[in-house]
Amino acid sequence: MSRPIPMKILVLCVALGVAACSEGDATHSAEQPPPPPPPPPSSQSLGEAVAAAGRAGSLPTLNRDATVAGPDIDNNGIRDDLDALIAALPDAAPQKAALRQSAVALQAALTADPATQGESLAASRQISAASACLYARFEAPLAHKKSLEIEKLTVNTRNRLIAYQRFAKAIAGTTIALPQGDGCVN
Amino acid sequence: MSTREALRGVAFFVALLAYGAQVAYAQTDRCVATGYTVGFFNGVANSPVQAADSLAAIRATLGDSYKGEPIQYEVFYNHTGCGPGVAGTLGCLEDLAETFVQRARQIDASGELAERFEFFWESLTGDKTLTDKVTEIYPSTADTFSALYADVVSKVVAGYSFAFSNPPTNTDYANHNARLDSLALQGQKLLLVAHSQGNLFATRAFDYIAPKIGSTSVSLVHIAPASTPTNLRGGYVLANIDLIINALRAQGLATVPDNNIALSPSRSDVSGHELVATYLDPTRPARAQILLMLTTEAEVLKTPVGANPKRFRGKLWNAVLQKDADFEVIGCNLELERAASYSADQLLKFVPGSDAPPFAWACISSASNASLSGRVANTLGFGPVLCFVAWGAPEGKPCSTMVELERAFAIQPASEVMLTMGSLAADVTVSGIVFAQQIFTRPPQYPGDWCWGGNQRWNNLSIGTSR
Repeated sequence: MSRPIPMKILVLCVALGVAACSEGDATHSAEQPPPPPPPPPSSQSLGEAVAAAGRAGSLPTLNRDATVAGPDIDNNGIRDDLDALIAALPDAAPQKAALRQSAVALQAALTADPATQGESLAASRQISAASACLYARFEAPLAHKKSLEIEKLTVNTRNRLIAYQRFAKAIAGTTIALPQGDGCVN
Repeated sequence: MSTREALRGVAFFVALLAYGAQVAYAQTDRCVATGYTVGFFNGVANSPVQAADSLAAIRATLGDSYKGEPIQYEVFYNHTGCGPGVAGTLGCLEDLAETFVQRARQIDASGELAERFEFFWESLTGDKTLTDKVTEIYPSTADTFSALYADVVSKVVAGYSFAFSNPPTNTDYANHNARLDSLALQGQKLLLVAHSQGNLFATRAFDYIAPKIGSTSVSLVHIAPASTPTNLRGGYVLANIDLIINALRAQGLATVPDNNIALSPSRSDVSGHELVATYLDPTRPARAQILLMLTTEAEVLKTPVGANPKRFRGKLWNAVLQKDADFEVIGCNLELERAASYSADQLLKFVPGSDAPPFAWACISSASNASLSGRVANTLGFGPVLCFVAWGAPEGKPCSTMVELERAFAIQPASEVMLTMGSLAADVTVSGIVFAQQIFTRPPQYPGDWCWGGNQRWNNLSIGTSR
């Protein structure tokens, strides 16, 4: 039996792990190529570093307005900034379609009326189908990573998180089936 | 070694052979109630996307069929057990986000970091893509990120502790139990899988359904169980690097099982607790162990005894139902056992909150082309559900195709539709299905889109006549 690991060690491990993480991915800004990173801010504060990395294009440029839905000028069910990010990815067209499906599903969840269970359940089925599609078009570990990426880029403000939380509560206690087949709509 | 353990030991080798030899699962008639349902019980604060992702990862591990029988996958989603919510918040993710925002503002007075909730998400999972991009440019920020994320993780652990002290209530379980009943009646062998706090739900689910259908028809595989050993109902996998469970053990709030698998730490999963990134990681041995457990259980599972054909006798009946405001159809299920104790009229009076079968049934078709038409509604369980009655499916044959069903009846636009079953000269053999409204716009995709009934299990069911 392993010895218990105290909370302090847990925290330390988390800290070390964060520092060690170094996987690349495709969540860069749609603008390319990104300019070289600026010199470190003199204060080295985290906020300044994040802002500088954002200005340098190392972080995705995301809409953060007060609305839950955000702008969707072409009315395709995907927030325009996410649409642009996905379009700029190096993934193959079917993979991008799977990512778009995931974004559409999550957007439907955020904007579903939590008082209408049918609407929430419909969105949950979309999420389920989108997850299946991601796993059909990406290798399993990468599908998982892509799923988390779409989620964090979509639910990227407090208002959107609250909407997401309400959606989660609306479907609590239900069961959500994976579709038979790959679940892809395109 | 118990008889069951011995049986499983033998079955394990058979399962390995069978699993390796199985052929790809071709599209199977959705109305045939055979096969397995993998029911996944998610952990605390799992978002809907994370729960669905976990389910898809389990399917990627186990596959779409086992020994020629289809496997369907369902998340038994829970969103409880993670705190009551503070200061008017919704609890769970919002509480965690509040911790993130408060700490982020302490660290960064400009508020820049606190506004970027994508970093909040990265604090919860092993995916630190954006964090890494910042720390690659500004290495000195790594420690600050670590401290921030550690605070959020501490809050997560506190949520687990809360769940220990405040276990889910019967209300939390009710819908899940109803679904288990339905799946059992459909003849599904139940293979339950739980991760982390989901084990609390899964154990209750197992204890609920096992006495009803027999322990040979349901199994439970525990992954990273955040529960006491006495709450285990099957094998478990718990890694030595699982910092969340180790933290619970260290807090001494409850006894958790011993670690039983050694995993090497990975950069992709800091906590060592994630279902997909840790336990289903194809580069580490826990995934193979879990697959082994799943196939071993699948090998010995039997079709639930409750799925045996039953007959019930009623009288000719008519019923009028009000059209639901929400016209979406999301599924329907036969509820034969309880139906036998109710008259048809009573069946249609079920309302949410009543002590009634959670699945109003209306999924009937007739092989004899009897005059059946209409629909009924179910507003409980997975409702509102509107089930259209179709007919014409030959007995014992696969369900009618979409076109045939569409041709079989016409949707009545009136707000009130009569569900009738009139003038039957003889018993009607149930052999058909009911389908979802979506059938008119797309092929059915989800098991819940269909009612099961067009198979040999139900062929002996008679309705509509008194004898």
